[in-house]
Amino acid sequence: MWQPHESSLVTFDEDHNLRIFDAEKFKQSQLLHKKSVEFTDKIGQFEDLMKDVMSVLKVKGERIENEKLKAIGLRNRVKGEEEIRRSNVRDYQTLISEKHIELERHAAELESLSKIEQEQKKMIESLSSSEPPESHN
Amino acid sequence: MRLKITEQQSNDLKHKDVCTAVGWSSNNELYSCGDDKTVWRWNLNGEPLAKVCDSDSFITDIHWLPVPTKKAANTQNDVFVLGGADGSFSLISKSGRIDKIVKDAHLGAVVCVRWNHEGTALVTGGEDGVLKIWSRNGQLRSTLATTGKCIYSATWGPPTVIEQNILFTSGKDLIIKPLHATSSAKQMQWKAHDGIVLKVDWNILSKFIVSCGEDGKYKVWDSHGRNLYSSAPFDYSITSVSWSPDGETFAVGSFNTLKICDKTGWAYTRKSTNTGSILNISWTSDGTQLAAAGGNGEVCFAQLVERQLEWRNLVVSINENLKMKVHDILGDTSEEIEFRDKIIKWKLGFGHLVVATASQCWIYDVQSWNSPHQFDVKDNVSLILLSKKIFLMMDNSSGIQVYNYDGKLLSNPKFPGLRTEFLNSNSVSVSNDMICIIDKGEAEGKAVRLFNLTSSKESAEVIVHNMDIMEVALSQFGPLSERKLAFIDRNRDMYICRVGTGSKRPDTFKLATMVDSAKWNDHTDMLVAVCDGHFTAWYYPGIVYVDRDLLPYTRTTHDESEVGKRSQIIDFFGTRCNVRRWDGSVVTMSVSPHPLILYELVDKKNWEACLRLCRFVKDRSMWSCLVGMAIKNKEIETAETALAALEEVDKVQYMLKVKSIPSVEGRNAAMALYMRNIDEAESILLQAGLMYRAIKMHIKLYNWTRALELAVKNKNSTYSHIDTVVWYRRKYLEGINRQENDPVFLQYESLSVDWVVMKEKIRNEKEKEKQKNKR
Repeated sequence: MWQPHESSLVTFDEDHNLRIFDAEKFKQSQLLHKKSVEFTDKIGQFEDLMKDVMSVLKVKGERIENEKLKAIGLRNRVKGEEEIRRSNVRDYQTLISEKHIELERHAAELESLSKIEQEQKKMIESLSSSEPPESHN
Repeated sequence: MRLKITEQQSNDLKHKDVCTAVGWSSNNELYSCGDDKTVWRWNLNGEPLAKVCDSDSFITDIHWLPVPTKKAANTQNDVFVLGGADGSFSLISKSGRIDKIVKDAHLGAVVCVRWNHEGTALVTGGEDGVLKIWSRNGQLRSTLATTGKCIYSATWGPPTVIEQNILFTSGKDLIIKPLHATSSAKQMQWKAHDGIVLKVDWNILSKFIVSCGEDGKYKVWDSHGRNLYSSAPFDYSITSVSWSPDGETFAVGSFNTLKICDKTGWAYTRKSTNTGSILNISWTSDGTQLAAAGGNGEVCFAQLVERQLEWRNLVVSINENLKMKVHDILGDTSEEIEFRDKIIKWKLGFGHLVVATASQCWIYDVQSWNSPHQFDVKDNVSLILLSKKIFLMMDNSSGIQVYNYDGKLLSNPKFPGLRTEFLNSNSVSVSNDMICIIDKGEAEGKAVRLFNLTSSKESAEVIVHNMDIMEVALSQFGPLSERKLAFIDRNRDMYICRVGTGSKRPDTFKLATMVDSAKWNDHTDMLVAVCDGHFTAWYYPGIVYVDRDLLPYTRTTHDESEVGKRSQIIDFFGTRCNVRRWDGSVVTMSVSPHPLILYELVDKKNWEACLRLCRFVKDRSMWSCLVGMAIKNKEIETAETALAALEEVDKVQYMLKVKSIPSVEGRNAAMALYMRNIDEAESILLQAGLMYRAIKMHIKLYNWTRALELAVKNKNSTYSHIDTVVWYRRKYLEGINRQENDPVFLQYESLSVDWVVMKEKIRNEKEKEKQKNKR
């Protein structure tokens, strides 16, 4: 035989729905359920918001990091520039001295050639002023 | 000359660490090694081909076993040696197979490895300061030296028959040590640099040494350790030097810098690189390209470009390796010639251009550039020498070859001990009918071998000197009988010598001292030289064999314009002579144009015009030249006039006397006597049957023994002249108040001489000569 139990009292409410909890408890649990859903929604929203914030921050952070590196690089370059310029100056100086040496070489060559030109001019002059030399035909 | 550099992208370096050394294989592939324990193979264009092998230790040095010829390279086992930082060295074949590893060769690292030139022995130097000699198979032969300091570099000296030296560094010093300790050869040591010496190289052709060190200088030394050049200090220490195979230039490597210098020290060109310190430089066997090992792991390739030759109105230049441009300055026209492969050697002169590429030889006539003659060559041509009708080409496979300008092979002279790898342009000379080569084999460079090209048999005349001969040059003018050889010996004395006469005893004559360089003119017999820094010209060096008294007159020295010591004469065409001074500048010197005209006139036998020319110029040198040429050509009249102009009264008298001799042979003999050719004069007379004249000649020369000899030989003919000789001898002895003590003459002591009979005989002889001549 089925015996009604105190703790599991099955009742009917006013709409003739079968109820396990009594009306009061049911109402409260329903409320709890609603509040919980609301809460999870809010938490979700918050999480999205935080994600947005985080990504924005990340982008910013990266940009800052880049700028920082750039700045360091620039600073190094400025520091190095001095050295580069010095070595450039040195390079150019060696280049200049090399070109000078080359110039000297060419000058010597030119000098010798112009000397020969003079000699030949003198020769032509002497040949044309005095008696023409015998034709060597 | 410029350098064209091929470099790799810095993000694509094959060596992940320092590249320590590079070496070209015989088929022109580069093998590089480094601290990343790998060996890489590259082609000529600087493209990496493959990794050859890995090593167990850091590699410090690489050197290929030298192969003399291309052919030998293909047949022989190609091997290179690697030095390791763990004290080992390994022999590795071309494919990368390890033939042998010698462990613990040195305590600490093996720093340098070097094969000798024959490829029979290996020298290694280590951090432990020990120098060891190994056999071809890696067997220890000897420990040559033990120094306290690390040996950074070692190299083999020019090999000779008796000795073989090894040069190595020890701290700031350089040491030359003979391989075999004999009494004659001594070790030599000298302080070379103010810092540690890092690299040293010794060229077998020029025999010059180049060294570099941490003091930022490079220096050139001769083989006796005398300093020839010292550079200004660089900003960085110089880490490598290397001779080009022909010994004319060397490469210098420093931090981000590669430089090409002449053997006299001045720099052709400098190029910046991205290599870091260049630790090692290697030239290809043809000397047109080099590779450098960079401290940042890069292997840098460099080509020599923009080389240029000039001759008269033509300038020929190579811009790219395969393209050649010929520029005619007079007409301002240019011609471009393209070749299929790399140009290795080329020479311009005597109206021809000869170009040797890697596989072919092209012969151009400067009149027509479109129709060259061409033939194939077997090996890298190491030398081209031109003369008027023929040219000479030398390579290690076929030796010395003589061609005409149609490309026909005329001769291929050989002699035992001929090794072309030890010959350069100073040791070989060519003229139209003869070539000469310094014998560096048996004669150890103390003799010159001459090859007559006109005779079919390859008879070799040899001129032996008492000292090493450094340079030879054959005259270009005239027929074979006019051929003269000028040579410079180790003391820098210049000698002249008649060749091609077939005489056993060459009559050498010392022409000048302290000669740096000498050259014959291209179409006369003029000779120029740089003596003691002065430019000196001999208008007619043949005067030595005509009348030595006149030699000073035929020589001119440019006093006012000193060219400086150690200048090299590049060429001497026409009246123009180009001289390269020690600082690298090319100065042009000229000689008087009058001798040239004189040569031309003499060539045409126009003696009348010669006299007029000399009278016009009014110069002793011209008259002296004319005397020489006239006597040589037996032109007595002209010689007499010229001698009169020189106010050489005694010689004019002699000429007058010569003119009075009735027979042609007698005159010729008298002229030969003037040229001091007693033997020739005698043989002329004897051939003509002028016995009395020959005997009288010897009597006049106080050559009593020979006079008597001739007289005795001839005693059975109609007239015996023994009495004449004896009479003159007695008269002579009476004159100087001496007693006869010559046993040959003592046996004629009792001979009675009838003066009347003797005179009669002499008169008869003279009459006979006159009669004979009339007939």
